[in-house]
Amino acid sequence: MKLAAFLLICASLILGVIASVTAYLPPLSLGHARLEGLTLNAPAGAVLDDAGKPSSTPLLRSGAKLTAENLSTLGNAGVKRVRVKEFSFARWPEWWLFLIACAGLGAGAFIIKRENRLAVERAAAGAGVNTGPGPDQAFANLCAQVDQLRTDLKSASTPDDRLRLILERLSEAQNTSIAAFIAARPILISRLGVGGYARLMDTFAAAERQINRAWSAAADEVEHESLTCIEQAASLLEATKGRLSA
Amino acid sequence: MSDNAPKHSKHATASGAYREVTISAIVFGLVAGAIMNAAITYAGLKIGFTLGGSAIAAVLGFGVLRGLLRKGSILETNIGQTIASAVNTTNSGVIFTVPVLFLLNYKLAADTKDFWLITLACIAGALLGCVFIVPLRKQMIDVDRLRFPSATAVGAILKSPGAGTAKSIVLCIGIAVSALIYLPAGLPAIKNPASIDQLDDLVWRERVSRDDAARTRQIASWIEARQAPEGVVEKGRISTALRNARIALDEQPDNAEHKGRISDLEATLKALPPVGAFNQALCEAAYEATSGRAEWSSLRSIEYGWAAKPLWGYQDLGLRLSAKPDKETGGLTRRVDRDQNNQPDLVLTDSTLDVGRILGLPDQVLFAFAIAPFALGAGYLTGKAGLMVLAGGVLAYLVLNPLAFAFGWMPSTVRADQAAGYALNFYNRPLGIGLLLGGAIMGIAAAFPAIREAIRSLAKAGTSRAGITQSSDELGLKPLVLIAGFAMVLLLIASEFSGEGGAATMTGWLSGTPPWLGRGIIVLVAIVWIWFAGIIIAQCSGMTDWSPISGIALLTVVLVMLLAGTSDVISAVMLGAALCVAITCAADMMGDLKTGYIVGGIPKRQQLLEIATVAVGPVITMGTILLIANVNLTNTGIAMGPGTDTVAPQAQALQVVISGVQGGEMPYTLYGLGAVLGCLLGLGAFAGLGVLVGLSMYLPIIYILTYGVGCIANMIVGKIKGRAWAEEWGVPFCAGLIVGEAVLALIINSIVLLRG
Repeated sequence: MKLAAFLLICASLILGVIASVTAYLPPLSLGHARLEGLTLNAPAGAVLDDAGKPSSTPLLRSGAKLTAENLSTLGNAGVKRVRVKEFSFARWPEWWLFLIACAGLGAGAFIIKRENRLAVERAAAGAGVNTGPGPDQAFANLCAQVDQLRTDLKSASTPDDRLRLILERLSEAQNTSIAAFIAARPILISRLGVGGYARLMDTFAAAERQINRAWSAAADEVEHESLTCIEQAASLLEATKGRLSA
Repeated sequence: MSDNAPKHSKHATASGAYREVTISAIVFGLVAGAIMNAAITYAGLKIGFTLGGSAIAAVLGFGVLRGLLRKGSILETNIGQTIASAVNTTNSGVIFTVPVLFLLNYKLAADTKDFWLITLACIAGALLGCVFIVPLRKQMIDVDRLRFPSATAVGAILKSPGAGTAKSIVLCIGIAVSALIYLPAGLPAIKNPASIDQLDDLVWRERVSRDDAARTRQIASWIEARQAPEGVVEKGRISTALRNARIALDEQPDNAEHKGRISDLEATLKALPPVGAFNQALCEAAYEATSGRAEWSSLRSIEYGWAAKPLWGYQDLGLRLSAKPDKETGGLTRRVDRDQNNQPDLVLTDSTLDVGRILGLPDQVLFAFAIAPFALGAGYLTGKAGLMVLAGGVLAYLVLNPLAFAFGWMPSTVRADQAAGYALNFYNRPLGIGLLLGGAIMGIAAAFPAIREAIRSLAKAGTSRAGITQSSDELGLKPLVLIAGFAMVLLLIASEFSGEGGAATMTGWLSGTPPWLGRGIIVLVAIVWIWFAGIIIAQCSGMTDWSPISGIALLTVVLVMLLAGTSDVISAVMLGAALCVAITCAADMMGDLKTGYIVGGIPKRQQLLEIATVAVGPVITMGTILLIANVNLTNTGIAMGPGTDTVAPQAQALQVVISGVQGGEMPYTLYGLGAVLGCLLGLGAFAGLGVLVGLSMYLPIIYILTYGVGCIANMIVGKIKGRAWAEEWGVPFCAGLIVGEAVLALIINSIVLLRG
């Protein structure tokens, strides 16, 4: 269903842009009365060369006014449409194609929205396939990783050991739990709404930034800064837990 | 000291604090930013080259702060690159807009009020760009998690000291691969005068046209005979006299005698018989040599039209289509030899690989790849989301344009191989910009709850005190509102007094309103537009690394001209410049904040420093432009543009648009229809879809395709090695690809500029 909706959107978009292109291209078949007085915005027609093939010299140059005589010349040369400066719905026969395209885009969007909502609901209910750990599990893993790090740091004997431990463990947390929590964004939005998700991410992102800072400080061998940031990250994760379960 | 004592680090201050905002970082940022700004302003005016500068500043920061001073921490280097890019980034906005005034013969000098008012407007724009984008940091970075590929690359570079040897090696391999790929694409920009016996070979390799080779041989014959044709020398004599008269008039602007002499000389010059393909500079040089004031050998200069021999590039591999003779004429068919030089066309040039022609696709289907490692890296870093950009490019160039050509919707004089170029100008770009606008509106609507939460959080910044308050890491709303108010007043002052000021009459939509009120309304509209455009640009660069700054700037100038009338060019260009500066600053700040996020910087510090230093940029850019204009006036009698060393290619594009607006040629309906499609696209899978599709219609396909390769590579690597592996090793490698090209492009362009 989702694939069909994407195809509908693609087809509608193609139709929409094609219809749009004709907005400034009135067909000569509209009749002289509706085209006279308009100004060309691109060359029209081509003078035939000695071999009877179109040359690079146009019959009418850009900026020329369309007169009855000009229109006849163009018509005789087999020109079907001309590009003009002025727009009018009355001179745009393909406007209905544009409307169909808009309807197609709207319908495609509706189907995709519905399918996305159903997929998120399925994933939230645990019926999803290959969706990785859910947000709650990913978050619990992250909290556990940070807590374990804090515990292990106490038993590490040298600054070098502690710095190495921080770099290793935080790198792992960044690549696993944090990435998984962020990947669960659609589930969280369906559960909390966009506003609720933004509130959740306010503290989560602050915690993540503290983790990133702790990593940088460890890489720079500024141990006390790194330790402080890990403690702050732990507090912020605690605050996030409240918002996640709210 | 016991083993368990905290380790002393050179990356901590004397008091033990982690080095972040330091005097060294600020001084480095200001100096590096100022040098890059002046250099890139000159490069932009001369050859159209511009560069954001964050990646270069990060690399320089490592060299200076960490290498020379031996103390720069990751966060200190981040502050250095933040300031440097803030000071540098404004040049791309200014050089796109302000030089158009020179091209349209407006006088802009240190003793004219308009120069200072435009500088003031650009400063106001820079401040507005920064303060308008700060409240969106949480929404774009914390909530929407936009990728900002270049900022991610800078983050990877900054983290390299702690990322382990293996990742540093991968980063270096990325830089090396990028340099290897880009070197043959960039090197041909460096050119030397060719020797006569090289000409035939250069013509065969399509480095020199037959006409250029013939002209070079003619010049060589003059040098040998120590004599040039009489017509050339006469033209040179009159042209030299005209240049001297213009310089004299510039020194005494009210001197009627100089004005009269200039008119006479211009008329005489016009009446002279044509001298073929010899440019004015060559004629003047020939006159100087004939008069004995210069050596005849000085005519052997690329500037005078002597053939140039570029350094080796991809084109020299000579990969061509196979020759297919025309059954009727016996010569090569147009499909094989588009330029009709009796040689099969090259499929590999220095900058592109034309796969479409190799595969034998119809001529109206443009399927060529740019040789651009940065696009490859940006595509990889964007990943699957970037496929939407690729889809938009495919829609425009592989579906829409061929169909439009097949239906006969292009003039008969447009050949199949010219279809893509015609379409880009006549409808891809207007529709693309429209889609962008519509997509951005939907993006803002969808993100409104997140934006509201972000603003609420900022509002609490000054009041929250309990425990750890992440909000206090951000600049609060009050200072932002104060700075925005100050900038708005600056912009209003600049607008009220620029051009004819109060004496100007409104002839556009605001016709009939008092000039002071009309200009006030225009400034208000411009400020709202700056806010909106800043979001569009930040979204675009966040999602793809590209931003349609030129397109948005063109729309600004059009908007102001519609409001104020088509004759109020100074106001339009001034507000266009302010907007351009604003949106470049907005995109730069958001990129810097993303980098800061990756390395754990405190946003408030970056925001404060960027706002405090961003005003330096416009002053340096405007000063550099003024200096260049004065030197040009002294040397050529023309401030800027054709006939000078600085042709201002980007401003020439704006000049075409201004002329188009004045001539009623803007396809406003296409913008509107595009916007409707953009809005509807945003209703579906994700709100920013219109932005991505619009951007790809707006950009040349060659970069989109290379970018698409990067996106697909990311998906394949993720599938084979797993997502975590693709991120862990792909990011440093692609950071290397992005940075490698940027550094090499800067070096090559510096060499080009230094060699004159």
